[in-house]
Amino acid sequence: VSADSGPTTKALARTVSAEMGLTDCRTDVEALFRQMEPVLGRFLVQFVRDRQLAEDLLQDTFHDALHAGSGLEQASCPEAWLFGMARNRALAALRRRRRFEAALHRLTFRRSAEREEDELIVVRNLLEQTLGAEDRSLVILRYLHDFDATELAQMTGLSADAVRQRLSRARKRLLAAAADGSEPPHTRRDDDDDL
Amino acid sequence: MTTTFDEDAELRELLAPLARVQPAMRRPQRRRRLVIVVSVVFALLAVGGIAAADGVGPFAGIGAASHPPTPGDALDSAIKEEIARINGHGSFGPTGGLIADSARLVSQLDSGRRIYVIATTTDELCVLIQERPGMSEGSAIGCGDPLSQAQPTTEETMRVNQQTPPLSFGVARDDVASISFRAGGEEKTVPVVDNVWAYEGESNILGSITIHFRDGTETTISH
Repeated sequence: VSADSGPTTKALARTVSAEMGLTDCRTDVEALFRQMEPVLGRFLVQFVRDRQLAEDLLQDTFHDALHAGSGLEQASCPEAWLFGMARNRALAALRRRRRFEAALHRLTFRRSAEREEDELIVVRNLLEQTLGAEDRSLVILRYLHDFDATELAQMTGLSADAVRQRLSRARKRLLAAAADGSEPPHTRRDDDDDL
Repeated sequence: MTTTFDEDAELRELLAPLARVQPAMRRPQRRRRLVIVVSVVFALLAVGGIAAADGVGPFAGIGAASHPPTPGDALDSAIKEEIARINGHGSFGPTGGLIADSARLVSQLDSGRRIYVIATTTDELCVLIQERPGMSEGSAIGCGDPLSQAQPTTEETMRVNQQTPPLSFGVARDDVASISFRAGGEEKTVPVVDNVWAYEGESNILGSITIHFRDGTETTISH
């Protein structure tokens, strides 16, 4: 991971854990969210691509976290708990978008000032053309945010072994597609219904 | 032999550009949310109710768009730039590329928003709403099959931000006279003018609408 990508989730999580000495649950959630907001925000942009949508999803995640009752107290890994909420929000948004697109293709103009670097476009297109949204989220959370299989299992409800298998398949498909320069559309597998 | 460790490292390197994206930040005080929900209304027509669509192609049945291009149809450079970007990225899914020069201005709403129809290279119909002249920000576009007897109108609802009411609008066939729906606890009917209908405010348009045809027939569509 590039040095200018900011602190990783794990590094930040350690900081959060060390600083979390608050007793009020709501305040705990707010403190956790405040600390995690940059990496959560980055994850959402990486995953859904659309920055406006990512900003809304971040706000929605904050709302979900505040209203999750004792969820944080019961979570064995607070960071995974929060990322799991963001991931679920993002997946739901992507599913909604896909449903609309199935009937009538939809596109919302993004701010014109927002320009993607060429290499970023290549990577995003590779991810989107090769993997379904579920696997894409696993790859991003594993390789860009350093969550391990156990933590990803907590987020997804899969077993850790199932997470490892999916990651292994996804990794091989991505590397093969990258080596080929492109991935034929029919090789994309949409695993959204598996979870 | 390639090991999992090697593959992990290779994949991290491959994904590195993605690690550099700027994070999204919450904007609780001023959310610039543009939500556009687009769906095609599938109308079940009474037997013998509606005449066949005039002509063929993406603009079939849309009289306001059935004319040679005029200077007034030309898209702003800001919109053309966005279209070039969209076409360049191939981000329009299975829809073909947008043909900017095919644009026809079909209506300008009282709010100043302009509504265009645009064809794609795969002969699909796209409806573009431009929020403000000279700017692409806030504009939105949806595409789908051309209008037909089975699909007499498009239906779109967008909310630019949480401080403004949603705008619902659609491009309808020549044989559609008006659209009605529930809003504020009562039935509202909006006319189709130059093939466009629009309503600003909270409503049940996404739940159910009634399409009134010029021959007096009507059909109610529940989503």
